[in-house]
Amino acid sequence: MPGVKKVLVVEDDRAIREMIVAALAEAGYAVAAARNGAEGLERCRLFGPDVVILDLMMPEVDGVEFLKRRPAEGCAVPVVVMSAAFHRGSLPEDIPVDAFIEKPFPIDVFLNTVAAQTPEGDAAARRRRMSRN
Amino acid sequence: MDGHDPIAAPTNDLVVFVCADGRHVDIGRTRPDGSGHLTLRDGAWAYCAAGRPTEPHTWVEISPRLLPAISHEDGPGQEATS
Repeated sequence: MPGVKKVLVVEDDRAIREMIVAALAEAGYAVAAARNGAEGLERCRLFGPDVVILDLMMPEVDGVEFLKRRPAEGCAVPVVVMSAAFHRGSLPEDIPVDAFIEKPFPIDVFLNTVAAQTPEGDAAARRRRMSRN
Repeated sequence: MDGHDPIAAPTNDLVVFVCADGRHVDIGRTRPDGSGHLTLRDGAWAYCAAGRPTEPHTWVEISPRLLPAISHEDGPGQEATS
């Protein structure tokens, strides 16, 4: 579908992953999901998202490892990291991220952060807010 | 998705459930406050200080509060509401 922005959610917690996928889909995004960093890198190549939502603390390949590997894995899109404030310090200073969402978060803050990272994201967020009012 | 209803989205940044499982609480006491695991329960945020243990959690509802306000010093009940 032309114009529909694609978001990849990389999150191991099933409840959070499914909630985010549903919220993004309701907001009009095309969404794919992965349960760890290894799956995330593969899906990033195959799905070609406009933005990646990335948890930090995951089994196998965690979020930091995902960030380290992604340039070589062909995943050069904006990344929004979501994690508890305590784990923010695990992000290496030499690996920039495009945005950080602190868990726990209200869903509207999450959706606005994602919108800001997608092309025409602000306009999409405005349309979404208007449609709900 | 595997056919069940999607989990409701949280409308705020408050923790409403904490895990009161004795073993999880003991593990949590060995770790820094705020380093545990956050998940969702009934559309609200839930926190276990032990991180991601394999055993099931024992969730208790608390008066909603910000994550930094939850500490080991408060004990496992965290002023449970029920």
